[in-house]
Amino acid sequence: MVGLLVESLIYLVVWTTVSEARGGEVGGFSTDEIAGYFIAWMFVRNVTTGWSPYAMEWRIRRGDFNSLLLRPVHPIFADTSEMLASKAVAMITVVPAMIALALVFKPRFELVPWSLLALIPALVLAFVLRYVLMYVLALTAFWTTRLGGLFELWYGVEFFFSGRVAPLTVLPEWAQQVANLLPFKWMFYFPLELLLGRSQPDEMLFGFAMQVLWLTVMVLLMRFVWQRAARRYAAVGG
Amino acid sequence: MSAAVSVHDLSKTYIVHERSSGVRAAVRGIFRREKKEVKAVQAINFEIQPGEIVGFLGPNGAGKTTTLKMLSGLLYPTGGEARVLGHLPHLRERQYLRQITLVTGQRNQLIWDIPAADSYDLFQAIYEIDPALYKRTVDEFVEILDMKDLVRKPVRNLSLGERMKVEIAGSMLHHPRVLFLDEPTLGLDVPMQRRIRKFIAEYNQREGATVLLSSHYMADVEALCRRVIVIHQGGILFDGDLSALAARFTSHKKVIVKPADQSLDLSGYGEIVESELGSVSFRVPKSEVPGMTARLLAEVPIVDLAVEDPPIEDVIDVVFAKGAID
Repeated sequence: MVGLLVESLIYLVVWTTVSEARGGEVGGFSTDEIAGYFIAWMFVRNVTTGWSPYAMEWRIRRGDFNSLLLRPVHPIFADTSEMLASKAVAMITVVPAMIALALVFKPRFELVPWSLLALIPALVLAFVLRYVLMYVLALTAFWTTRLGGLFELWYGVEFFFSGRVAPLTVLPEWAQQVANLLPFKWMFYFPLELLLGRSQPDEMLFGFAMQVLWLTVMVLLMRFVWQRAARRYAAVGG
Repeated sequence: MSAAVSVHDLSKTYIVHERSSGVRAAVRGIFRREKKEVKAVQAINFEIQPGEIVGFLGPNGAGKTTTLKMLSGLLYPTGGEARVLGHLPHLRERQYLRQITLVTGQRNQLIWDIPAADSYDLFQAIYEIDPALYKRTVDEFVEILDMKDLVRKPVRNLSLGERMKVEIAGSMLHHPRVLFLDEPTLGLDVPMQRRIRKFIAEYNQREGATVLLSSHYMADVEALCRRVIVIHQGGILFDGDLSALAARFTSHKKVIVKPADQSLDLSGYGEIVESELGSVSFRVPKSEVPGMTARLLAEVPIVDLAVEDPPIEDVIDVVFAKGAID
């Protein structure tokens, strides 16, 4: 969580400086708007982070996975409540930090009521989408433990196409089109825009549609991979 | 009455990749991996009736843990069939998982950083235990196992024995009908072993639960089981009354002697089974032990002498050397 605060602070400082240097605008955001972007960033980031794929391998090695398999509940739920609880605890620090930074950087954003209402399901869907997606990645640990490179590549792509390092409007046009096709935007940038009140109603509907679409794809993929993973685990013996 | 556990020609073969040491082998390993088949369990058959406590005896690597894992649904059999309570374990049906429990020495079910009592609450939710029954069960277990202070402490602060107690209690909160216990007393001190055995025995009597207990300690099996299944190298060597096995094989004791003069030939005193590092081990019929040891002590200068029950490995060796028992 300290990482979250530090990371957002770095972006905040860098991007406001860049914006100033360019005469007060970058990627369609004014300086105070971009400050708002990275302060709101903290909130959305806290809600949507979760799984580390590396944890699965460790769990298998320790034999803890057997315990989960013996329960009459699917192992994917094993961490859900813990994750949600830790987010709630983290908010205790994140929200005051956001307020403090707001006092310093004086961000500008709009609190649009319908947008904020839409934010709630958007955040839930974003969290679930990322959770399932990360779980699928983690399941690869059942076949090989040598996918560190793949994970890093994954994170790298997510870095740019989710809106984490910069608002997507900063990217060149072709990249923005690509971002629309990938799931990352819908896991982060979409709810973030809703929070800032920068979405139009039709964009919001499109966003929800994409979230639901990707979630469906991910859940199907997860079930497919899980069956194979469980079978392999049971064949090999952990 | 249909059997609680029914195993028919059950087999499990692992494919293991082998590689000798050295750089050349490592390089070759990239292109071609040598595979070896390990037949962990080979076409075993047995049936267990509800309410029985059956002991699986056998040395390390015999196939006991593999069998238990297949019966609890963690492993797929490579051949044959196992049915427990009418279910096929590897399907891991929710209805099935709610009726069984697997307890192993190393397994950590309870959440590490919080008191066991909180983990128990979690289990109540997972297994959907009726709240009144749950409360009664927890109180009972806490009383029987003397865990009142233990369940309030974070699990990581407990000693091994204490942790085993809270783990076992936790794995039985949902009143499973079948218990798979894999070396549950491994590494525990004797009083703790006794306490846990008593707990299991009482649970079996009260609830009529079926218990499969695997161990390489004769003491575990002697305390709890009337029937034993001896497993060796993946096959069943003996399936029957413990008293029959005991009479057959623990009629002998092991006498280990360290003579002052190691060059002495002691074969006249009894059947020598081992002779190394200055120690000579005899296999002596129980009735002859007092006489034999008295003679040894009187006639030969001895540095050390010990009388032991034969370890199960020796028993199995003897059984195996003589062929399977029927």
